Amino acid sequence: MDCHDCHQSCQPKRKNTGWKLFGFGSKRSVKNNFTHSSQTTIALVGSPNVGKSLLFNLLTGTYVTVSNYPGTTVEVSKGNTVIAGKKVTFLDTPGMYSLIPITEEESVARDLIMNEAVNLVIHVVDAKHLGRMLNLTLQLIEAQLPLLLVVNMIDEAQKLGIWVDENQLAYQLGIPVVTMAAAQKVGLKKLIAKVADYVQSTPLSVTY
Amino acid sequence: MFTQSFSVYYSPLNFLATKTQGVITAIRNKDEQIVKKLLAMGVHTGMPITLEQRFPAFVIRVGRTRIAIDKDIANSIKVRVTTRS
Amino acid sequence: MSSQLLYPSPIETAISRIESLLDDRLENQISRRSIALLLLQKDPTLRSQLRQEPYFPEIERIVSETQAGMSESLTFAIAESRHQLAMAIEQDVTIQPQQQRTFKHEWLHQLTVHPVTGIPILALVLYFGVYQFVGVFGGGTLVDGIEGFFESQINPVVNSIVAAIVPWQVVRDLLANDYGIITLGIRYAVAIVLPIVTTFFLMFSLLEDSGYLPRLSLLMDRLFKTIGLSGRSIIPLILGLGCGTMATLVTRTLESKRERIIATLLLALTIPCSAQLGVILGLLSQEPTALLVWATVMVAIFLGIGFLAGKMVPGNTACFYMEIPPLRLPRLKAILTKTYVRLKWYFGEILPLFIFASVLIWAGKLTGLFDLVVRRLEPVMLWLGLPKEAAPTFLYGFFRRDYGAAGMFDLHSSGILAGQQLVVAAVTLTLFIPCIAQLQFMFKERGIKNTLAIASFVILFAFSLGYMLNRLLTIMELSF
Repeated sequence: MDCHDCHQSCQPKRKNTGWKLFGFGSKRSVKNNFTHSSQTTIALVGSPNVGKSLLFNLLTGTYVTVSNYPGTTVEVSKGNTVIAGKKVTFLDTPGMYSLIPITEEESVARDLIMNEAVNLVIHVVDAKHLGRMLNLTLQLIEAQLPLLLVVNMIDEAQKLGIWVDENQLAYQLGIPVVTMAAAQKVGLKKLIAKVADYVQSTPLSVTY
Repeated sequence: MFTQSFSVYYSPLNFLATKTQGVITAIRNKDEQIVKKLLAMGVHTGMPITLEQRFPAFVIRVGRTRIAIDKDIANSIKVRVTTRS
Repeated sequence: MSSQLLYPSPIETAISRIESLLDDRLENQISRRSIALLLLQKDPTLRSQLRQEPYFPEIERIVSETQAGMSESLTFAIAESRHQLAMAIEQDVTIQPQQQRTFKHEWLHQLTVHPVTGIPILALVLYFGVYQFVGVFGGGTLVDGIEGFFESQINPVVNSIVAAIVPWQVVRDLLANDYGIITLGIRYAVAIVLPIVTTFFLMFSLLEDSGYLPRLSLLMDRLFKTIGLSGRSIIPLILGLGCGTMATLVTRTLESKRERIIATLLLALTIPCSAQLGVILGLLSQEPTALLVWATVMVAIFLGIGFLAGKMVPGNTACFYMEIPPLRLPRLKAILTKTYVRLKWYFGEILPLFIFASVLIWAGKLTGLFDLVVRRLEPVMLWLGLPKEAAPTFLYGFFRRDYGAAGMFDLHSSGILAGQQLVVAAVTLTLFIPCIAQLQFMFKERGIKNTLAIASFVILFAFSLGYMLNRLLTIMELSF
């Protein structure tokens, strides 16, 4: 996918022409277009230095496209992969600490999850700083976004003597949680399985 | 109502010496953005804090996080000193 | 869900009151509760989005009423509740060590941030990373190798093939010969820009992944405060040594509009991009005095203009706060990927412009428009004490900064530009207007007004300073 257009127009535009071909009107809102599309969009969010980009790399193989969206972001990387037989698009966003952005760069990630049609948000946190990073998790839960929490860098945390109880955390938050050491590819399969669960359970497909 | 005078050592961070340890008692800055950012980085009241360096910028350690701040922001973090070494 | 996040009761009341006001038309994906909370924290984006709504004054009233009833700021109270719960959850789901262990590489961290050892380390990093690796290796060794290969192997072949197939001289000149798309556009891109930009991005990704950049910001904060910036700005400015266009984009990471304007100005005026830097270092390194004069002048202008801009651009003094991540041994694969992604971006955005510029130059020459501009520039060149052959270099320099620098390279190798002229040309070209791509991003990022102001200042300043420098060097009778 080669997208150097501005994000407000490029994705929906492409969808609309697609629909027109099949005799549908193009009046649908951006949001509807997305929920009815056969592809799942998943955004990776989290503070800087938690290994989002590395995880993005692992999930998508490589950086397929680095689009620069004029007026909105420094860079949002976009990459496609197939999970559970469905096309999944991953978005790697600039770091953000909280839902309230402070720099322009941070507002990119927020605008993306607030206004764009993202089917699933994966919040990546550093196991060493779990407590303070859960702040954003709680905000994302409050926002009722479909959410999955990745507790990354458990290897580094374990070296510091910190152990995270994945099940207990999932129970407390009421969302799926995966502990990982992305740099060592530990937990990657588990994450992909959880994403696959999500992709299969949501009725997204539209028959052409 | 009767008041008892507690003598709590309570000081803005920028008045402390390097290696001072303490607990954050308040975060006050007229710029709310700065307060927001500090909160987001895990600088909350009640957290243990260590002043590691004063020059060329202030370096603090809050919990397991290390943060560099300038003098103005250091001034907005109030600390109750627990140990001096 | 066992942990429900509840705020102090006045806030909860305010949340439900605001929730009931919000209508269904909100296109947001997020819950009303979340929107209400953002409004209570005075989120600027959401406020401007809802400003026109009839219920907005009511929301404003609820927010100020709630605030009036609380001793601390709403933002603070909300963050505290959330923090308490987050910490409680952390306690509940983790086993923490009794004693905090020290960070890995602690001694190295101390060395990099202590002023006594940190500044020399910074100087070493810049010397080896930028000067030796990008300037001497990338801009010297690699460029010479590839450039030589182009000159001797590719260009003659292209010229003769084009001459054989294409009967029209006009089209021949478009593709080949002195200013052709292949012989000039692609040659510059592959032989001069590619090695320099690649070495730069490799070095930058290495610094980024090792966690050194935040330490650099920390060390530079005091100095940068005097020029109206904060330590944070070192990152776009260092990136500007790679590509000013990319750096202009990255000024977004700065906190205030004031910082962004000052950084954009300094990027446009004083920071040479790697293509330019590589060529200039390559040219001037044979003359240590010339290099020293160039570097001194550039640093002085950087600090001087920064200081003045800091005084003149309205707004509050920048503040500085930055998380310092632990130092890490970077992984080669991650560095290569980052470099690759940046290069891809660079060539995606820049290579088309190279070709476009070649076409423009061809069209300009064809219509005589170019000769007209060049003739206008010639007196300016003489005024600067430069040969009039330098005029096209300045004109091309606008199309791509590095075109200009590379043009200078050509002039020097043919013996037209030497000694003092070289220094004056190098300084003027470095200061001179940023390339078309950077200008385009300045428009996008800073708006027309700011860009026009910066651009006209840069042009005027570059030529006046070039003139003064030439006079000064003549008076001082410095010989190179």
